[in-house]
Amino acid sequence: MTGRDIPLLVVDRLEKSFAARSSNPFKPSREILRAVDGISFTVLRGETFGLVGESGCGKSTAARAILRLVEPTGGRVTLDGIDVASLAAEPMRKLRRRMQMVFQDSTGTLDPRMSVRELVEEPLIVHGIGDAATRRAKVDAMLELVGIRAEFANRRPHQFSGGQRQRIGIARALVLEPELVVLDEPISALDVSVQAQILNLLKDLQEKLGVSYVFIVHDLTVAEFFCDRLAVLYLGQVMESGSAKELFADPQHPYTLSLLSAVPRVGAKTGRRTVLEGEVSPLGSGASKGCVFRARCPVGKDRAICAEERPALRPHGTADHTVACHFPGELSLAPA
Amino acid sequence: MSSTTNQPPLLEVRGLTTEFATRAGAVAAVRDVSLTVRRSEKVAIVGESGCGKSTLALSILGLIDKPGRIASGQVLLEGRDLVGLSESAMKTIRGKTVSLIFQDPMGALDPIKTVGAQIIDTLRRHQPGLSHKAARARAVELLREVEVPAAERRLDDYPHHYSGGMRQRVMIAIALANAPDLIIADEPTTALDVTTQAQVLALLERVVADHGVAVLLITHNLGVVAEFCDVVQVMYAGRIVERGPTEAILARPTHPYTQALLESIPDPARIGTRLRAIPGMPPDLSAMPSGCAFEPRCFFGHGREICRTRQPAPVEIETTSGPSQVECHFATERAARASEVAAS
Amino acid sequence: MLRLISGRIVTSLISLVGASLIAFVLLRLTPGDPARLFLGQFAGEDAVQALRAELGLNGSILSQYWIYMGRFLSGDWGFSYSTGQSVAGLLLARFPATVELGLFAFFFAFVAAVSCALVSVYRRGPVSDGGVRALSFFAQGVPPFWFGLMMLLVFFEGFGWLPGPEGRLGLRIIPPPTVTGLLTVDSLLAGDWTAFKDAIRHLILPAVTLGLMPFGFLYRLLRANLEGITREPFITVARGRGLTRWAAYVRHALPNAFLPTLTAAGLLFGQLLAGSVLVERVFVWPGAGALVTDGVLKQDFSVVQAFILLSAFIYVLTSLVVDILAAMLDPRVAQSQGGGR
Ligand SMILES: Nc1ncnc2c1ncn2[C@@H]1O[C@H](COP(=O)(O)OP(=O)(O)OP(=O)(O)O)[C@@H](O)[C@H]1O
Ligand SMILES: Nc1ncnc2c1ncn2[C@@H]1O[C@H](COP(=O)(O)OP(=O)(O)OP(=O)(O)O)[C@@H](O)[C@H]1O
Ligand code: SF4
Ligand code: SF4
Ligand SMILES: [Mg+2]
Ligand SMILES: [Mg+2]
Repeated sequence: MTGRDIPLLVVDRLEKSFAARSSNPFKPSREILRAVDGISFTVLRGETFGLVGESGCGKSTAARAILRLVEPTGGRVTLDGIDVASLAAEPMRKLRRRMQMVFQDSTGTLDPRMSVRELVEEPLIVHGIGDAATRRAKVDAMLELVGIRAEFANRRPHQFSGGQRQRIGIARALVLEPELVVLDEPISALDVSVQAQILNLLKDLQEKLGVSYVFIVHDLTVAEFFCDRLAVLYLGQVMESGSAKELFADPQHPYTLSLLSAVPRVGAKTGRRTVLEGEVSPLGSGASKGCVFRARCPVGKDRAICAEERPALRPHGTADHTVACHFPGELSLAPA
Repeated sequence: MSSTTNQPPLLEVRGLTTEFATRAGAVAAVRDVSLTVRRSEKVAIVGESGCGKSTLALSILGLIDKPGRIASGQVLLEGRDLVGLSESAMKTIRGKTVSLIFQDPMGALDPIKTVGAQIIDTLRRHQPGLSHKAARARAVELLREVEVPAAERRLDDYPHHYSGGMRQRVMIAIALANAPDLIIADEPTTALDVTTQAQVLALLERVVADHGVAVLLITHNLGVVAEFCDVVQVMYAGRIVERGPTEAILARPTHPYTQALLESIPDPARIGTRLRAIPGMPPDLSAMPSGCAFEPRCFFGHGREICRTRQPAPVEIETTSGPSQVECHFATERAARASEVAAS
Repeated sequence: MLRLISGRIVTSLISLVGASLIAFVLLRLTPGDPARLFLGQFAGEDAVQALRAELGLNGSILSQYWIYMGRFLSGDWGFSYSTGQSVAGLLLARFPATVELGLFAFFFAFVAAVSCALVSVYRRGPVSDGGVRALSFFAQGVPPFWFGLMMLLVFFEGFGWLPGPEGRLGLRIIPPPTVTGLLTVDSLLAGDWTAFKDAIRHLILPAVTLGLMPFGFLYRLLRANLEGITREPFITVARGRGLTRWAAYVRHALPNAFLPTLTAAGLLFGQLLAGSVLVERVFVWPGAGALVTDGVLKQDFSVVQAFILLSAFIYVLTSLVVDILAAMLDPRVAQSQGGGR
């Protein structure tokens, strides 16, 4: 990583809250839902940074807030030193070219009436890049890169499989030659075999183009395999972060361990499982003091300090491995 | 078939072919499939999207509608053939002897009826003597059994008040309602995140053990198969290409497709390398290759004359944990080589 | 839910005011001086001016509207200058006939649309499909007065099964005492079985004629919804629980397909009332339709205006009721008002 250690993206205490209305119409109450509650991390050039966690823990909201697709309610995001939130409309539009997003289900983002070539060309037109001939050359090169054959370029999205549509979504994001691509569960809706194709494709593209990824997944095996560094989120807060190698070799936070043990794997026998009880319940937990994971934590459920004091993110061991837990390392995956 | 008892197996599918009429003519989504599920056995069907898993499940329950039809074969439930039975005969079997759990937890419950109403309806449909009050009490019991908190109160909630994981619990409750012998679960956890998947699988495992129910589990997640099932059937383009004891098959796959599927799972032991993805896509059902359906994508047989021209027949292989069947021209050779590697 | 309903009532009131204002202004802009028309060509100019003052015609259009609405709400709908009678009396005597016809037409359209949609989706055959589709195109395309005449030719002239164009009751039937103005209801209230049967027999042909267009419309809407819903997983799951396909369609697909058509159905009912003029002509139905056509031809402002207001009121009321009904029947609507995902 020498020579490119200047961070491309710096996310500093990012916050996004929603006003959540209660679902009981006769007892209206206003609560603040802290979907993203003070997340900080940095992404280097050419690196893949993972955001992992259960459904509803705020991954997508964080992604949107980073790209300013929703306005953050607090914190700072800088891309290459530029404060994203402070930009006016026009410079923001220019900056968008440098940061793109790929969604879980590309189908919804692809206009069914446009051909694949038009779809991939559209961002170039929107950003006023090149004349028709250069655009066409760029589009053809991009389609080849993502493995869509030129003779299919005039087809419409519904004539492709889910995996191929995801390739089109990736081509659309990468044709602008962005420096940062946020991938929101890009493979969750795909088959294993197709997942492997897309992951390979993303790795190849990163090598060729030097792009950085913020990669959102809930499957930790994929995160371990694909990400250089990652942060584990729970209710909008970082529970543990660090390099993938370190984090998976020596997980410290009870939540990380529970997530790890939840992944069913070929070749690992059951018995090592600590099934996490309950569900993510976003309301009412953010405001209270103490650890947000407490209600479901097998370690700290009944401990006073966990209820009293919110654990800060503290470094653990070497490098940039950090953990937010009063009792790091207490839970382990030793076979039962 | 190496059946040790002379009692018929719970479910036996013989030579089942299901076709869909399309503009390009009839395409067979399930081609000449045979399988057996014994009492209390947990059988998996794995394969890529579109390989015919759901079609097979729905064919077993007689739920294939026009333009689809069962073209040939038998579905024997305790020896009685279900193919061709009328709706009114099938309705006494569905939800009673065999029940169904469906993939999409968001769409599997009627959105404008309460969860309780749907459970109670299932109960009373098959137990006409049951009073409404008794059915309600039983529904609460069922919700408790699937660990829905505050069951009594949640009974009158609508499905949209439930999270995805909770809805899947409700589906399990409905499936269990009339003490079935077999549950067919079509991707019960695919739409859930890992922790919820683990919860739902643990629940399913428990209730299935408690009630001695057999399960036919459909999934494309080999990890789920490894943890949950005794027997696995690997499906490719409408056919079962490899079947046998889960442990043996996942540890030492004989069919090249099974092996490729296993190798495409991200393995932390190989970080930094490329994944071994299967190239290309499953064949178009209306234009099947004339030989082995997997030949265009097969790392082993691609380009070989015999694979291109002749459809392989099932070959019986002995594994450490019992016999398996493999549809590949090179099954014996590959199995022998694999056991050599294992021995050395 | 309360918020939803109160919000809906406010928008209803706004649309009522808007509709009445537009109708008022439009009618005032048409040429012709109502005071002059009322008094006739030979009245003196000062008499006309006096009447204008009395009718409030000299102020600005807004103040005229204000005066008119004030009177309207207190029950004074003015006088029809072509007949000299009170407009309220004229309209209220005839409106129930129109409402009764509209209700029956709507009932017919609704029942026919639901059954046709169910059967054609259930059977999925090209024959039933094509047949019902042809019927619905016919229903939406055929001119109502022509169809009404054909119905009369066949069922009255031809077979003699149903009564001819003689209004709401046969000549020898004594009408029941008026309570609601709806003959079917009133005859039932009076226990007059003969009058009830006769009223129904007289309603059949006009109701079918009037209901034909809404039937075609509702059928196509419902069918499209049903088609989609029957492919939903919960239908398969319902069958997996032990319902036959038919039972799953009737108990689960139909209610779900029906909800989104409710609003359209409410609007259709409003249109039926306003659109019954031609059908009333063909069947010599003593409804408000004829009154209004006359009113338009004779520039009889007060009649037309009161009718428009009354129709707007019913229109807004039905759509209000229907929306509240839809919200109550659909558990998800209340939720979407209250946030959540
Ligand atoms: N526009 C919004 N208004 C109110 N609440 C919202 C909004 N968007 C998201 N939320 C809430 O914020 C929380 C985080 O949602 P988010 O979509 O970021 O989660 P996620 O981690 O991406 O989950 P998933 O894995 O299901 O995609 C959830 O509780 C969600 O209900
Ligand atoms: N109604 C239909 N008409 C035509 N073809 C159909 C129909 N239903 C299914 N098929 C075809 O049958 C094949 C098998 O579909 P099926 O849904 O059984 O696959 P699956 O293995 O369950 O896939 P998934 O994992 O995506 O659920 C597919 O190629 C599909 O296109
Ligand atoms: S701080 Fe306490 S409650 Fe929170 S994760 Fe650590 S042990 Fe569990
Ligand atoms: S028969 Fe040939 S092509 Fe088919 S799986 Fe075996 S080796 Fe591969
Ligand atoms: Mg998300
Ligand atoms: Mg399926």
